[in-house]
Amino acid sequence: MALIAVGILLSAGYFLLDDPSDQPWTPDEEKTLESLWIGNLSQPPIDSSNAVATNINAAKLGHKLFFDPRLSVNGLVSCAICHQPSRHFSDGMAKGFAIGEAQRNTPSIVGTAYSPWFYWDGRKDSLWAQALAPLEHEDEHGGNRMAYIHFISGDEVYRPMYQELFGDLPDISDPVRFPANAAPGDNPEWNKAWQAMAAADQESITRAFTNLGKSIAAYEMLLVPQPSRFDHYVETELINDASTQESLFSPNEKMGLRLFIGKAGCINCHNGPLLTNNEFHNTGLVNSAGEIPDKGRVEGERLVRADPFNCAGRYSDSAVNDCAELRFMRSGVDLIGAMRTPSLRNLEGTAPYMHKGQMKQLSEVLDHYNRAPEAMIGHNEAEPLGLNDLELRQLEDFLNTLNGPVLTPIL
Amino acid sequence: MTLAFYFRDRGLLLLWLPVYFTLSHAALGQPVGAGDIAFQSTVAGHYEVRFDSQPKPIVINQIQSWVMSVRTGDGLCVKGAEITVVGGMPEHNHGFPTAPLVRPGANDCEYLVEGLRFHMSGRWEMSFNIKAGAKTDTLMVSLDL
Repeated sequence: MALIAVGILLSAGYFLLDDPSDQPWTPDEEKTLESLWIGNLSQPPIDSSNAVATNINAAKLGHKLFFDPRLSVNGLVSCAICHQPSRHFSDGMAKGFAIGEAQRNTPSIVGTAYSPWFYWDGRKDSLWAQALAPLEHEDEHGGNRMAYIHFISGDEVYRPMYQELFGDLPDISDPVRFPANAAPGDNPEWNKAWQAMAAADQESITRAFTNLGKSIAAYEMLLVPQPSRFDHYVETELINDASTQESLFSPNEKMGLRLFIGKAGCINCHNGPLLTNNEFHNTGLVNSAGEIPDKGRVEGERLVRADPFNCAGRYSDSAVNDCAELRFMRSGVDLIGAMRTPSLRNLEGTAPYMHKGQMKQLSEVLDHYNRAPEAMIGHNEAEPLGLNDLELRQLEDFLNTLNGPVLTPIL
Repeated sequence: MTLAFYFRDRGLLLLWLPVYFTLSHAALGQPVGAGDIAFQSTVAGHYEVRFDSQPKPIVINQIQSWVMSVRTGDGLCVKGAEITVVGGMPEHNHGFPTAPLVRPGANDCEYLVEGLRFHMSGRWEMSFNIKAGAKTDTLMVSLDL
């Protein structure tokens, strides 16, 4: 009897000792954890296409522009309508809604200065080129570049701020040469007015318009995530502070982290301190009901190559040879339906998830990756993970340790 | 880390390449690590190749250029070679996220491999096709990041 009791105790001890959540991290695992640590986040890469990307006065101008609803056709829509600071600069809706409904989910712009590509399909290759597009999109700000330059020229706050940075604004006092509304694009009236303008006038207005985008980009460059509980956890690992470390993560959170960097393979795409590789992957997501499948990167690649505001274009401040991302961009059938990997920081404030906001809960996202269904269009790169319910909950628990504040710059 | 650059005549390589990608890499040598490619070179077949990566060690998620020095077995610079590179991660069944190109570099020996980006950690396989005059060789690079 005593032997049986000892046997039971030994068995119980074996299983307790074998609890993977109690196991210390190996040196290789520690190195992997450190690669995700926010302390390894360097300054954003230099955007050679934007000469004022790191200019504090440009950031001040961009900050004002970002929050100013007068930069819209109805005076009600600012960038912050969809990129709300209280929601980590996203909007909490499946698809963005300003004047009309957007085609895709509004991504957070915190930390996006680190990405070479913008939008879910990467159809823009700089923050400034991205910032310009909503200003003229009929469902977003709905305005036009000519009206915006009239507004900036006539505003006693903006005009001197602009001119200090970029020199004189174009002289737009002649209403025949510079109508109230004009822009290339889908609005027939504005397009007609635009086509009637002299090429040199179109050029000066477009250049001034791009300077607004470059200023907004200078502000957005400053939006970076701050340390989360996960980052504090990694710090305790790096300084061998086991007792503090134990108090920071529950056993389930630690197991979730193990799965994230191991069996679940999340780290393959969600790597680096922002937990994204900013690349494009088809992960077999279903589209919104009633919509045709989204072409994703394969269309974004075509659009960015043709974009007059791309890095190699005349409005870029780059030498052509600086535009490595654009020059060495590739296409291919594997990019059909591929979307840009989002950061996993601050998921708490950025639901719903995926490019159409198809999933409201993290558990739905994890279930999707666990099943890895066939793609509606193209090929799903992901393979089924074979995780059980407990493991899925542990992964979710870990993802919730990645929430933290956003650095809000004082300008 | 053991060097894992292999030269073979092109015809032989065509037969050998699928085996290389699908069977054990161990049988063909160990891959090099992110910091090792900068310091290693080897000679086989027609050409000797030495790489100098920027940045060093190689990092993920950053577009980068490498200098590639190509010489004959007896140390002469290989001028005017046409070099192409393809690669990817067999384990994940995908190629490079970019379309890198190789162009002539600062001197007769050197070539610049531009537009390389590695967007995941793990095993990357690269294949450089080097054509100079009548001689064509392929250099296989196996890289662990």
